Amino acid sequence: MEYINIILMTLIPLFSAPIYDSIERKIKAAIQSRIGPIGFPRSFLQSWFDIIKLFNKELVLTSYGVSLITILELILILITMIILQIALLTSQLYWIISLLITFLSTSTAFSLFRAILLDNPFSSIGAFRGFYITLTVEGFFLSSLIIMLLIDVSIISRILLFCVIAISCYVVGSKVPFDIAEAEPEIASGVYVELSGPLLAIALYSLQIKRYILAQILSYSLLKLINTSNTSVTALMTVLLTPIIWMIFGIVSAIFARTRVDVGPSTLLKVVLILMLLIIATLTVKVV
Amino acid sequence: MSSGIIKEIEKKVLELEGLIESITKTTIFTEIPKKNIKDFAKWLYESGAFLKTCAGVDERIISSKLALYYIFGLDEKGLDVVVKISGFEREALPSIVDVIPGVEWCELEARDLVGLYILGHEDKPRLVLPQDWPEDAYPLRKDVPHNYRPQINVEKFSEELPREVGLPIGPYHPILHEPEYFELYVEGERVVDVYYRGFHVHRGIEKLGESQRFTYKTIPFLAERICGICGFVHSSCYVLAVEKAAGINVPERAEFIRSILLEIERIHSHLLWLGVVAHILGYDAGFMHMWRIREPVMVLAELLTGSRKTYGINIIGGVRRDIDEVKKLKALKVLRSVREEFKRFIDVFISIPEIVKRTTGTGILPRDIARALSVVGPTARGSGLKRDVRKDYPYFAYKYASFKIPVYTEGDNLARLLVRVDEVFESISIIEQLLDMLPKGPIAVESYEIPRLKKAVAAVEAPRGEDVHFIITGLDRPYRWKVRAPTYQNIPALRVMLKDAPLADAFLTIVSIDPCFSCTDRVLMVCDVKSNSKRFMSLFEGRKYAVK
Amino acid sequence: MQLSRVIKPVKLLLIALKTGRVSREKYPLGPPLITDSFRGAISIDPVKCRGCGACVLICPPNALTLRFEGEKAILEYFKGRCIFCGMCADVCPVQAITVTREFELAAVEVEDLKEEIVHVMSKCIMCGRPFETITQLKYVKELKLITEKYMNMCPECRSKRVAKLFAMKPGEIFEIK
Ligand code: SF4
Ligand code: SF4
Repeated sequence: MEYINIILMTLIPLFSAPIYDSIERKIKAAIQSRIGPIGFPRSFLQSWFDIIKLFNKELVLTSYGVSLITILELILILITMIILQIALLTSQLYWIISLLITFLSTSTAFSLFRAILLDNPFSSIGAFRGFYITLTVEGFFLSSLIIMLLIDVSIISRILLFCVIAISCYVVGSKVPFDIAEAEPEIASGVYVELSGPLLAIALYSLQIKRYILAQILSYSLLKLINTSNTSVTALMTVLLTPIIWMIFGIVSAIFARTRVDVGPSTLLKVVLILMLLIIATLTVKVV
Repeated sequence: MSSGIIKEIEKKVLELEGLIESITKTTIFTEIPKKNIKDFAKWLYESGAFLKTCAGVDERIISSKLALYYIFGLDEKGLDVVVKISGFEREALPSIVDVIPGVEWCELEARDLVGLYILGHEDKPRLVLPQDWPEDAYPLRKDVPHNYRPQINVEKFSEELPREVGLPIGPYHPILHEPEYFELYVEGERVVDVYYRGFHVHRGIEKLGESQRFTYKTIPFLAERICGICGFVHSSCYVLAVEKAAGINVPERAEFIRSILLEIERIHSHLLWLGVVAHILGYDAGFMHMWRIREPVMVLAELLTGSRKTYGINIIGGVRRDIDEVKKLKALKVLRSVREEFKRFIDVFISIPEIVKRTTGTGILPRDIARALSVVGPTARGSGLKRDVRKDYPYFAYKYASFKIPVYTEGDNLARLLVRVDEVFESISIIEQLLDMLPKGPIAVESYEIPRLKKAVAAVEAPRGEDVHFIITGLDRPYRWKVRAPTYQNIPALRVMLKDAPLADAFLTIVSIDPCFSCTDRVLMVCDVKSNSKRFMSLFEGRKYAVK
Repeated sequence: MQLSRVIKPVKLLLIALKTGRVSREKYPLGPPLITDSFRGAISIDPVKCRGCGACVLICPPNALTLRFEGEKAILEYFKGRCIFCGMCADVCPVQAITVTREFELAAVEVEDLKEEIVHVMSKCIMCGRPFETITQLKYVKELKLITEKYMNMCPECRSKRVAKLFAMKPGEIFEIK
């Protein structure tokens, strides 16, 4: 039974991440007074169509390192995703949560590798920018997540923790205004310019799964916030909440413009630091 | 225009042993001995004149000399001063670049295209012409046919490529809509220097206009294609120049229609620009909505002229399409809704925190540098210079409309943005006023004659600034037709704006002058300003400096 | 104050809601979005056209060309070059050209973008050289600008002949050979 649950839970993101992405695109189009992908299947499956199409395009290898990293990243993200599902179903197991944290942090290391491996200065700049942004929130994100998942704290701390996690999930998911890694093709581009055809498809698919993971983590934290204890219900609830959070993220990203690489992280850092201080304050108050 | 200033200029010209060729309502044509040109330019500059441009002319058929016409504009007096210096083929002419820094491009252009020998520019490399162009073929000379095609020598091109490249942008770059080449030298995320090379899209339009292929009647359509966004400005400016030269009195109704269309063009151009800026700042919703608001303006232009862009209704002596009562009502309706929609959306637009943050304090152009480089349009008005051809040299029907010229003193990207936002509202109100006052009468003169060897300078305020056309009439077609697009005057300022700014803002800053490279490139330009010491130097020197 | 500033970006949603979607659902279907005054490709009425060449002279991009092939004069309209200015329609003396509202002109072959109107040339009765289209001559005849004798001559022969006539002494008889 457990195993079937886990398999089911893993299969859902595999299929639905691109679907959510398509719906997000449709919503964005509506905000921009456009139609977006036309027709019933395309409204829901456009991102799938894109991935399939990219797979049929020719592959131009610019460097083996980047290709290797791209594939490894997908594998890593898939593993993270599976561990997350296990963690959701068996949240009592501490080791699985620490494993999750480990894998989550590795993905940051990966983006650094990628930035170093690129020999195209444009992409390198973009990749480093992406890395800075993630780095800004990464530590706070993981530590808040640990506290949230493992320690029983007061409701106020939980709300604050939730805020940190929400911001971090948004940032790590590289959405506007924090999409600077890929966003300035006019001056410096991201990693994607180095990828073609199937590799780009893999990279996009990884990004979508990553966004799914982040949205799911956030929905799980939300449930933690309101303190639901039953695991199987929690797991089911996260699956239902994920698309909602994804869409909210989508709407927010459509409303804002892109930040600048030096302004973005510093503002973020300020906000998150204040939140963290408050959290520490609430935690110590409780201890006292 | 006051006669006092004319007297003064006359006195100065005589003092410097020059002579007054002719004085028209708006222009003084003078010729100055070349040894005194520096003094005269300095005097003019100090009495408030802006450099408009200079034009090299091959006058060997007329006077066996090559001539260089400097065109100055006394904005406050609404008076153009055209100063001619000339010399035989290999005779050296002095440069006035140390008096007026903004003149460098057009002098170099005259050197490249007409083969003038201007002192002080000897060892600067080619600007307009490609590296493989033959040594002594000067395309704008009358003995070079307009379809002259030299042999291509690819090897010469690699000579210019720098070994040490900063961060190249272009010539072909996904975000540059036109081929242009920028090299940014960065330290971390900070731009320390810029190198610019243009003219990749030099189309030789001036030469074409002077060639057998075109006549006075067909050039407006050619002129309209100088720019893809503000083409009507160029055709208006061309017909205005010809009409001035030939003394054709255009019916009032035609002038009104031209003004109306020029303003429509300004609205759509500014909305387009605002959309592009939104896109660059990652605010794609802004991009989409701006262009949605712009669409009815395009349709309106089509209703009034028959075409969304390149209206094609300007002819010498008038226009080809009338605005009837039905169209007028429709236009008023469209304008009302555009104003409303724009107002509602721009309110949201300038409240987006990232937009405000990224435009405030970036790409600053101080007022004195703006003055020294004679920048034009919103770039000048964003730096506190109150320059607007519509007010300074009233043409067409602008004297009948009342409007404000928005001026901001900050000189940053936000200032230039706000200037454009305000101008959209002003333009809408101008059109409404003009439509209300539209006089009755014909829309074009029946016939006209264009005498030979008459000169005229015409300026029209394009969305990007002052557009200048200088014309010497010839038989059936201009003898010389010189076009100075607004961006030509503004690009030198970019170096000041880009330096010491974050790399992430570089593109925003480049876009903030609303550059239109193919207009600019119909000839060439390159210049370089070292900002902190306020010393001006050539762009090529700039590269050495930058690499070091 | 501070709050309203924060809230303002969200107003975008209201604007979007109010406007709805403006892009077109299915482009080629449905009526085109052009106004009545739109200038599209031109159409030349081959019956009316006389091959006078006025349109060729005025056409800014040389989309209209007139070429001579033996006894034929061919007026060619190349849509690929046309800038849809409508100047040709303005100058045509017989209103053979109308500006249509057609703008969907894409073609697979470049030849499909060309239209040709073939005029037969009239030959000079003196030297036998084709010199003017027959339709144009007919029009000249209607106008009675010159006598029929001169009409069928090419301009060169005509001027030669006039010159000869002037050079004749009184009483001499001029013969057409
Ligand atoms: S102007 Fe009219 S009649 Fe003359 S060639 Fe053109 S279409 Fe024919
Ligand atoms: S519409 Fe203009 S470009 Fe087209 S054929 Fe007529 S004159 Fe030439």
